[in-house]
Amino acid sequence: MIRLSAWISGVICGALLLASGAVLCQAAVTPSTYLKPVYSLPLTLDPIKMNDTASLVVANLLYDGLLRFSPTLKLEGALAETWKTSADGKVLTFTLKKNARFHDGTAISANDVVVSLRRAVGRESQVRKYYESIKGAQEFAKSGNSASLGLRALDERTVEIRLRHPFPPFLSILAGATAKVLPAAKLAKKNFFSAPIGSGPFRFIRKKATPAKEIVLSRFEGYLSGTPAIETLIIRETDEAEATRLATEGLAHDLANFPLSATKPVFQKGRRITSPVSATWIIGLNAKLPPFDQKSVRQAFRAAVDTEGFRQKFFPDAIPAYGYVPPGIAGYRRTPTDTRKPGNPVKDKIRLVIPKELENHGAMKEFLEASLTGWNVEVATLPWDELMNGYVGKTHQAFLVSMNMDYPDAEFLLQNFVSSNPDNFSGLFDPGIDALLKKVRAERDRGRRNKLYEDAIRLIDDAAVTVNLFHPRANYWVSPCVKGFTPNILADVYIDYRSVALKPECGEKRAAR
Amino acid sequence: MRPGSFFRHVHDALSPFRWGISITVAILVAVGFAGLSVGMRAQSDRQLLLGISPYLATLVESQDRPEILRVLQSIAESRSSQAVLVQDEVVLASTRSISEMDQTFQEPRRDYSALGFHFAEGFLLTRETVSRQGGPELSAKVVLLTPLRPVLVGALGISLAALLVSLAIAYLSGYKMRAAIRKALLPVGQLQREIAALSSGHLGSTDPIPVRELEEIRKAIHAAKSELENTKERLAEERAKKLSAASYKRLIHDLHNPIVALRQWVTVLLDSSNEEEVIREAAERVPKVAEQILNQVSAAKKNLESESAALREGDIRSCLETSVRIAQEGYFAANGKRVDVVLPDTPVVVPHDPVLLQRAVVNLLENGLEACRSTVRVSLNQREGFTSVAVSDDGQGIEETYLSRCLQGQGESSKGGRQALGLSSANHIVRSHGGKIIYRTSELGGAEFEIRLGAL
Repeated sequence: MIRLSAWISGVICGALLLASGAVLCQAAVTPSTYLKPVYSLPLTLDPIKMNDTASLVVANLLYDGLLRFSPTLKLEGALAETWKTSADGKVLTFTLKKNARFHDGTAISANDVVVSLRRAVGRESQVRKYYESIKGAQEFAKSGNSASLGLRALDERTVEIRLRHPFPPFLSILAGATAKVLPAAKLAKKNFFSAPIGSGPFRFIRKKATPAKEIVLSRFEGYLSGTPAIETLIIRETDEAEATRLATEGLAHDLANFPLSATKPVFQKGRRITSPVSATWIIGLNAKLPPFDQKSVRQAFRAAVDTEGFRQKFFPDAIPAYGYVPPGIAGYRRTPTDTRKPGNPVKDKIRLVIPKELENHGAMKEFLEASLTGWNVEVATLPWDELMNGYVGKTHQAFLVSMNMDYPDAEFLLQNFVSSNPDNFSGLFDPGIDALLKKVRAERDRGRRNKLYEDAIRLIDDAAVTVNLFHPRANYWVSPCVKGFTPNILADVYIDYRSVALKPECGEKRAAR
Repeated sequence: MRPGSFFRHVHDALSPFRWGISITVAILVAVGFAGLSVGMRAQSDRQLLLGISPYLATLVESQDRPEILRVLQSIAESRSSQAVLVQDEVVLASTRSISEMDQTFQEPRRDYSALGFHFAEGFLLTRETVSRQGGPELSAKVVLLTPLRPVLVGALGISLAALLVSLAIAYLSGYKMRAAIRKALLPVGQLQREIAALSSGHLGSTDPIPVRELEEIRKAIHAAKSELENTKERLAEERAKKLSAASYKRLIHDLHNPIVALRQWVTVLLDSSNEEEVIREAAERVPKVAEQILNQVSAAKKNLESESAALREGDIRSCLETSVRIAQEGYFAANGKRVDVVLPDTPVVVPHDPVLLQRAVVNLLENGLEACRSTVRVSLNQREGFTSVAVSDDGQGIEETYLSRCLQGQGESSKGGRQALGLSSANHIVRSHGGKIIYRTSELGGAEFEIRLGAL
């Protein structure tokens, strides 16, 4: 799965609200209300349909899975108390924590886990590709027959997952934001996801559209891993400018959902917590549409883009990208390789779309058009939803997006280039890549896995379906009134709000429309 | 300053060493332990990094940061340290801070080295190159930062424990030391007792002292004691000889005039040309002069027969009190006369012969009691350079011309025609003490005889 970066969406509703004459005001509230602006409210609260950062942020607050990531990606038990892997790596057995309960107080059973993961491999799942290594997953997706599916509740607290082949990153997938456990008995209820019940650190209270688009969460007093310090957590949709204003006026508590440059003035009013994140900004090239259906054109276009100039102009603290894989992940390239193959520009019209919500979208358009001399390039700025529609429908020739990761393995990113993957945004079809990535899934030896990754990356580089702009570095604005905020090196989605608290000496304000 | 005992002196002299040794041992143990801890920790850290280096190299080659972080966290948690993996001076993984990853590695400031150890900002630094045999050059290193505080706190704890143990040992050794000091001082005590016995006239122990130096001191004291006694005897003999010679000289001198007078009266008596009146007077005078000569000779003989004085240091007050008691018992009880005694409260130590001096004082007291109307007073005073014993009475006093005759033994007692030899004897005894008798009119109205002893 890919997710488009947080910064490139979500201001639409805020803009509409402003246009409708809503005004900002502030009022005193009881302490411990935490305001977290996001670029967009979740498009869905169903974990198996999540394909955007905002949804995943809320999913991690509402739901728990079997495992979770620590800030440095150590695997920790969430609902699972213990787990073990069989000697052949094909059977994973999890024992649930005693007294694990959903927000409504019902006990969490092994059956809840089986049903939730079965949904993830089902026909309606949009994250099915993560779970395809589960034995019988593909058959289940086709036929709906779960008889041969490798998911089984051995008893009330024990779950067994059988895999088709050993797949080392599978534990990381289970720690991801889509592998959440839901109450099996309640899932059939109509509109379950209008007021979902999970077992995460926060309970869903309500979603409202006015005066602001917000989701209100309340801490789960019976949370197994300790009651969070924040009593009420408000997720509010707003654009970057408005979020910055809220932060400047001391109304917001963090801007982790927004891609901020280290030099933004808002940091003078709060703390800047910087962290690496596993992401790459790219210009995706659609190999299905001319002129990028020609590899030589893609290679020439890639060579023509001034990626370093772009990075230095707009995100100077980011890391130069010499490949698709971000730092800290197998396959990352630390030095440039001679993959650039300059060629002559083609005369075909090329339409490159970039998100309109980007604060510097105008400057970016000017930069790209000016730097691509000789190319017939038009940079268009599109609203986020239009861009996403074209992305999913593969109607854009070229598009600027940020590729984030859900689990820390190159396999996650490289799946984007598997021909059978619906999220193959470039439409690339390369049997060599398909074969390598199929092989890599079953390879348990770290050295051989890395070699397969490198081979695949070489092919992907040669295919030139991405112009790798840079690897971003997160600059989180955090209010001086907040303590316990720890970034996660995978993505802001995995920031652990259980440990975040408001300093008692800070007065609290609430921004309301 | 009030003097203390020899034991206390020795004990106090040894105590600083006892406590000093305890503290020194504690400090040395602390420094040694801290050095040993740091050294062992550094060596242990280095070996750990050397062992893990090939595996880290494999992870660095594949840029597998999550796995590198897991390894580093495992190391950091087990070692209570912080671990940083740096490649091309950029932090690839760190357990110190998420924020420093992918940033230029900030070398700890104030980095310094000693004895092969590297320290910086309160940490023990251990650096090791990340590489594996046959692997590519990675330009990577792993840095382990071990906080020094726990090591030093451990050293401090050990030093405190060592101090406590040392103090306990010192305290216990104190008992032993005191016993040892007491035992060591036994010979000194023996010497002290012997000296005390010698000063009181006893012989004291004759057991040899088991300390050579003290035994030599003891022998030296005994030898000095014998020598002193011999010297005193010699001095007494010499003094007796001198006194005898002086007595003879005085006798010769005192007899010169009477004999000359006797010769003249005999000449007058034998010269028939003299008038009868004159011859008759000469005949009366010759027997008287001859009697006077005989008296003087008798007094001189008696004084010479007296034993020579044996002087020794002693409180003269007891001598005077005894003298008063003897005189009272012998004389005035039946006459209703009283003796006032004025003595100081503190001892008056003077070299004297208690028997002889007592006899002299009794003589003066008897004279006083004989001459007084009602009161005789004996007073003792310590003057500058001498000791004064004054015997005063409220009688008629003595004429100066008669006094000299009395002192020479020529006087005549009022008690039944006895010769007045008491004053002459007292004078002789006082002189044998190296003193003298001074006569003056008493404040009571009568005579006052002052005996002066000591330096004259």
